[in-house]
Amino acid sequence: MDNFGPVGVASPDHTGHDGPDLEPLRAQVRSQWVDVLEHDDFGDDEDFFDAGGNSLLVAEIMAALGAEFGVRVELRLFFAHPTVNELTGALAAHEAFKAAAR
Amino acid sequence: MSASPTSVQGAPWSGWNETTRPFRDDATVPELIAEAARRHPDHPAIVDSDKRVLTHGELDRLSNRLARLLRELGLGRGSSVGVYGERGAPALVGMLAVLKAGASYVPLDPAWPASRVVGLLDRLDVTAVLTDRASLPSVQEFRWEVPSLRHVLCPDIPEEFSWSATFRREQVADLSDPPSGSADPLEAAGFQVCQDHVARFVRSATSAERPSVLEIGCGSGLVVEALAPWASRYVAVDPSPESVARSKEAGDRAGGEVEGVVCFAHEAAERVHGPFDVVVLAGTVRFLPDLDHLTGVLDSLVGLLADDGVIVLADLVGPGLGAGSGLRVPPRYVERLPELLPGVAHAGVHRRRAGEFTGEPAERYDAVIRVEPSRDRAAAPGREPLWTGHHIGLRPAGPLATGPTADDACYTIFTSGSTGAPKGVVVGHRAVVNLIDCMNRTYEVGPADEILFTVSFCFDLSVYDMFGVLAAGATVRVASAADLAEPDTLVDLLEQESITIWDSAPATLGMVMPFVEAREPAGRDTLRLVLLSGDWIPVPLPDQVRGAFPHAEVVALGGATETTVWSNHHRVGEVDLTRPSFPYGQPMQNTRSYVLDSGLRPCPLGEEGDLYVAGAGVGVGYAGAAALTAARFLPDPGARRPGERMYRTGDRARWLPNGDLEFLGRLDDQVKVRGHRIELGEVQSALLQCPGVRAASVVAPVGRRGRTLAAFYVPTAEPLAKAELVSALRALVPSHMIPSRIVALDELPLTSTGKIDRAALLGRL
Repeated sequence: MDNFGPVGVASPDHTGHDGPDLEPLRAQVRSQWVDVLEHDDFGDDEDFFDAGGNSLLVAEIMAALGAEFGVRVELRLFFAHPTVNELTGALAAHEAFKAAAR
Repeated sequence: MSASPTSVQGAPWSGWNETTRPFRDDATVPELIAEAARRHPDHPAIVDSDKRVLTHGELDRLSNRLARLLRELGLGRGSSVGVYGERGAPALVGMLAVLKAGASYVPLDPAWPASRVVGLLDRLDVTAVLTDRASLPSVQEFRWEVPSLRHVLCPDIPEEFSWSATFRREQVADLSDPPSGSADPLEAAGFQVCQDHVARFVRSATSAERPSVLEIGCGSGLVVEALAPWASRYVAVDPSPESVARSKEAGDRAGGEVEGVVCFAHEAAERVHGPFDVVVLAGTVRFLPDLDHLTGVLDSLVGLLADDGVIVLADLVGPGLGAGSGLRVPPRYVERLPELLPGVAHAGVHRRRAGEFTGEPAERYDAVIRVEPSRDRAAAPGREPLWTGHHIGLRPAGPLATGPTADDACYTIFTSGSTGAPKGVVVGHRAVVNLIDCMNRTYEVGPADEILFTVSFCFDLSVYDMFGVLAAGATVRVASAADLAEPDTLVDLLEQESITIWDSAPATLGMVMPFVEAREPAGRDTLRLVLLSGDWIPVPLPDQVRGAFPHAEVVALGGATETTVWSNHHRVGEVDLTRPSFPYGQPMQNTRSYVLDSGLRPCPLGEEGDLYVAGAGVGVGYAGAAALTAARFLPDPGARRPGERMYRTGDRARWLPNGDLEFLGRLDDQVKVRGHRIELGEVQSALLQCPGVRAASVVAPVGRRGRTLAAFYVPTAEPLAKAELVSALRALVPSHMIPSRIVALDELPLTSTGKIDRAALLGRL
């Protein structure tokens, strides 16, 4: 049976309405997810925890992203934005990242 | 049949249980800490994130004053005091003061759902709660739900009244001044006063034909208009001169004379002379700073009433409603006013009838307060204040003459319960003193040490972090909630301050290590002792830690809340990365472990059995649960003193030929998720309380870096959105019990014996 309903099932992949400039960041976020989850079988709108993630892996992702951009972010940013697309948007809107991108 | 002592003790293959070591078995926790204060009065005891320092001497004196107040309130040996507050120095001072008074503390987390806190306080018949400024509004809302709760103390408010500091005359006057052109300040604030309803309600509440009326907070005169023509006298009070002027005009228009007085609600009793048949507060309560202020206002107004007079509170909003910002008044508060205010004979809550209102006003309610005859009011004792730092500061700083004994309870800490209700584990002073003695001696913890305190004080790891470290004359550096939210900040603290000890579940350190490793090292020489416990320790973690902090020794510890934090410890040496886990190591001093069969006979070497822990660390039992206590705390066949008991851990284990113990799983559905001990049954029980859930089962799959919680449920109709279920769960259980995955199924798979097939569920993830 595959009737998991709206919970726990991936919605269709994001089609990229928010402009091309987010693509490099999205690719980086996605690549961090792949590294820690050790698979790439998840959609860009899929919840990290449904994809097999846990909070220790969140720390690994955020430490790596922070180091890459030379910025500090609170872990709760991830918990509030637990999909690739949401996290990409949240990071892009984050003051520290904006400053780092300048 | 129980085994004879010799057969339990004499496990010839192991020196495991040769642990007897003298310690101060008549000492108590506050004695140890007071002795440290005498040795090092000027040494920092507590440092917080604002870099405020409390020395050992200051801690001693502050906690003495608070302990004296607690004792005056009748709290001493045998009482338990709730501690409900943010992580910070005030909570630590509070817990120590509770112990000095002779009582035991019950830590409660403000992040827990209020219903859980209320249930726990109620079960333990707690009579007093210590809180802080940030958490006080919640206590003021929920305290009325706990019949036993009489005293609330908020030591970090220095003023006499909780509201003094927040109550600014200009601010309230501004709020009350109607913006020009707008009809009423309440309406301007988006709050519609139900004018006709209030008028009818007031008329029905009094038996006087032409009553004298005092209105507190008359605003622009809506109620004046409706009531003044009917009153024999009408006094309108408001802090805004403009409102008072408008109300007088409204009275003139309606054909009733109105006396106006410009003052605040709590000043009215001094400025206005009674008696009145009716005092009305219509919508006004929303503008008051807190419930304590309201209580004070009502107390003063009671004195203005005629013998058959009433106070009418109209348009009250309960805590269940999110409408607007103002003060929310729990109906239980109103109902308990006769206990609170000696002059009040009765206080009734009047819900609004269905269909009378639409929208938000239908959810509001009204209340009528009736008083004792004047002569009884005059003789009545005053009400008990909210106890603040002002009252505490009036007490002497010297120690109380008496305190607890080593046999008394020290704390009650709650752990997850399989039936849905948390279990309160009661631990006595002697057990904690043994733990402190063992740790401080073994690891040479002394005044030069400083611990980074990251653990919630609702978990028993905090017991050593606070009391063990303070007893050593060392320093507790309290990490704030904000520090804990950002691992980089914790790394800053480890690098920039002189932290020497870390103590946490492996997961907490596991979340920090990626940030440590992502940074250039700077100042990593002070950390010397890393204590890890509460969960399986990832085998590579100690090497990671020692690689980053060259002077750090890593110690793996194990134990249960029921046996006082830790029962065994293992200094991690060279790590064999092919091993699945670290050994149990050595027993703590005066601690014994037995592997027994179902007849309580010792299992032979290598044979699996139930793990029991005995000795000085065994707790008192479960609070208010005699049957459960009797089932888990049994007579110790190897007792060293008469009456000693052993604790059935629920772990399966066996002795190895090298004298070590091997852990072989659990007898029950208890799991560890990120160091949190969780009964899957408690999570399942919470899910079943969520609307729309017909059946549920919870599993704890092991993924990379440890376990997570996953829930499966069968909806009564359509599957629910995950966010909806999560928010329903948040009202029932702490956040660490909320599954990270929630999956809807048509039905739960069953095994051939009719039980839920958890293995099949795990396969679906």
